[in-house]
Parts: sequence; structure tokens; C-alpha cells
Amino acid sequence: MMINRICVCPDCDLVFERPALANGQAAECGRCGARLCQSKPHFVDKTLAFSLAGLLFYIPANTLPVLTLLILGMDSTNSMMNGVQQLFSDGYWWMSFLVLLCSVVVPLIDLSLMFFIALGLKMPRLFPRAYLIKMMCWQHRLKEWGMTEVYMLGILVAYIKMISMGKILIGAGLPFFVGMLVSVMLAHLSYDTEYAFDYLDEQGSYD
Amino acid sequence: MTEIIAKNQLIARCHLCGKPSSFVGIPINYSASCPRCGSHLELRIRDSVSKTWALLITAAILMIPANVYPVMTVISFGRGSPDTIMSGVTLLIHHGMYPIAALVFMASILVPVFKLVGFSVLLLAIQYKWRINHRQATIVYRFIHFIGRWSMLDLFIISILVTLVSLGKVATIETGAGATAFASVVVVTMLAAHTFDQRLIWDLLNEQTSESGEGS
Repeated sequence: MMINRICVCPDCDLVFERPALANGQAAECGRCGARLCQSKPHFVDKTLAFSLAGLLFYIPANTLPVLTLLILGMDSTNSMMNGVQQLFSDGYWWMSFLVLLCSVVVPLIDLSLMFFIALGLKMPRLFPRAYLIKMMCWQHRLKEWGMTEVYMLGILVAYIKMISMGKILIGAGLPFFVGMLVSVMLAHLSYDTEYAFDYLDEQGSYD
Repeated sequence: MTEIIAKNQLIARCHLCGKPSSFVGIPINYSASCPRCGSHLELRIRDSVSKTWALLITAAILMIPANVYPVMTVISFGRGSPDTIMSGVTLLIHHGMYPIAALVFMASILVPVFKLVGFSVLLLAIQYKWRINHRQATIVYRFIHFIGRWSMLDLFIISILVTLVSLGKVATIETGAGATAFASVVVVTMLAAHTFDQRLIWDLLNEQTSESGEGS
């Protein structure tokens, strides 16, 4: 049995012969239904485009106000960062660390890593191979802790909850945040760790 | 159709990059590094069942302060009542915000409970070799893995509300101790999803078929 000719199901450990896939096709395990491998046409260009878009949206999304509440002529504003600051200064450092990690830090690292990985795959001489592999590993480990979409739902719930309390205004940061969310989701759809490693393997032959 | 199981052929699939590697010549309980990405390579996650149990019990204990202590207090004109997760949901129902109440209830109560119960059943099935539907058990595992992150919803809502509603004497929202415990529940159950080895579900089937094969 040739070890390079097989693929193993991640969920049930069944061994398959590596299928030849046409563009855009995916293979599923016949026993448990897990995704075995997939072909992603234009994966480098798509990842590059979506992660760059996400990075452009990132700074305004995180610094501009997202929601503003007006009650009796007084107002207070929420942005991504000041919620974290408020929790920290109230002494809830563990919670503020988690919110900072999941909504601010990990999305930034995730987007930048995807951008640099795609750049490195497009221009093979840009980074040493070992750096590229390290980046791909860290992106895979961290991506689960990025929770942009959960935060978006949180904004919606907070908005609806506060409607009855006073006048609530949508800040300039929200459109940028939505833009970032869409870019992150599209980048995750176009990027896949295993596919990126296989792509790097094929590329490595003439290195 | 003959089904070839990677573990029986001493083939370990890298959990990170997916590359299958031969484990021939390495003792079963040893670990190695993946030749392609350098990450930890094992045939099965070592002590997966006991590690996952440990994290689940931790999460179950943390669930108590998370639900007993208030997660946030709304103070309006000097008066305020602390709200636990459950009383926050009932308050939303009183205000007639049913969809939001359902959403918060699902994210903060149903999801953590489902994760604890689901993982416990899977682990018990693996330990006591229950005859389960392996495909369904795998679907349960995938579902638990997928919904885990949505429990963070309540924490994000609190972090938004503490700054959004900070209007001095008119209205302020303060965080409560329960939120810290709840944050820990989310993290610990997400870690449990990582230490759980879903291939153990199918090892059960492999053992059962080999046993019945020997019997006939």
C-alpha cells in the first residue's frame, strides 16, 4: 500500500484510495460522511482577495463606534475595543481577555495569516518553506477561537434589547464590521488547511 | 467490501494537515511528529476518554456558579436587580421579546447542557461498549463541535451592554461574577471537544465486527 496514494477519513479512520477530483468537487467518506478531500479552484487568489478585504475592513470596524444609546439627552457609545476596556477596568480580566481574544485578536491574526499564506503560495520565493508551514499550523490552531459571526449576533441582540430603553443609533463602525464578517466567512470558505498543504507539496517538487 | 482501518495498518493521520504517515516501527503508545507539518502525531489521542471526562466534570462544576451568581445587573435611577442567566431569559419573556429570549436561552443554557449530556453519553458508550448507531453518534459529535462557539453569545452581549448602557445615574449595566464562571464553562467545553477522539466511536464498531467474526 502506497502511503502517498491513500487518504484517511478524519472521523472514522477508514482508508481510501486518493480520489482524482475535478475542479470544485469534494469526496466524502462512504461510512461516516466526513469530508475527505476537496478541490478548490483558484483557492490562492480567492483567499488572497478575501483576506485582504477583511484586513481593510478590520481597522475601521474595530475603532469606529458600533452602537450609540441616547436616553434623556445623554449618550454612550460602544465600539469593539471599549467593551473590553470597560470589563477590564471593572476587574473582570478573564472575561475581558476572552472577549478581546475571540472578537479582536484572533480575527486579526487569522486574516493576516491567511493573507500571508496565500501570498507565500503565490510567490514561492517570498518566505522560507518552514515559515510558511508554521503559519499554516498556527492559522489552523487559532481559527476556531475567532468568533466574528457570534459577535455579530451579539450586536443584533443588544440592539433589539435596548430599543425599549431609549433611542439607539447605528454607528459608522457597523457597516465595516459587517464587511469584515463577510470577508472572514468567504476567506474561510475558500481556504482549507489540508488543501493548502497538498498545494504546497505539489509546488515543492521544483523548489 | 473489505474495510481497511488505518489504525490496524499502523497508519496515523495528522490531525492538522491530514497527511497519513506510517507508524511501523514505533510502539503504539508513542507519539511522533508529522513529517509534513511537524505537529504531534498519534494513532489515537492519548488518554482521550479520561482527559475529556476531566474537562466535562470541570465544566459541570463551573455550571453551578455560572447559573447561581448574577451575570449582569441593570441599575436604572439607583435601583437595580441582579440577573442570573435564567432570570435574564424570563425577564425578556416578560418584556415580550420571545425570539431574543429563545436565542439567549439556546445559547446560554441549552447549548452547554447539550454539550455536557452529549459528550457524557458518547464517553459512556465508548467506555462500556454500548451498541450505538455509529453514524448518528458521529453526527452528535459534529453537532456539539459546531455549536460550542455560539455559547460565547451571552458574553459578547454583556461586553456590548456594559459600554452601551453607561449613562451614570440614568442607567448603567454592571457585570456579575456568574459571567466569569460562564466564560470558563465555554472555554472548558471547547477544549473538551478537542481532547475527544471521534475515531473511538468507530473503533467500537471495528471491535464488535471483529468479535462477531471470530465467533462465527
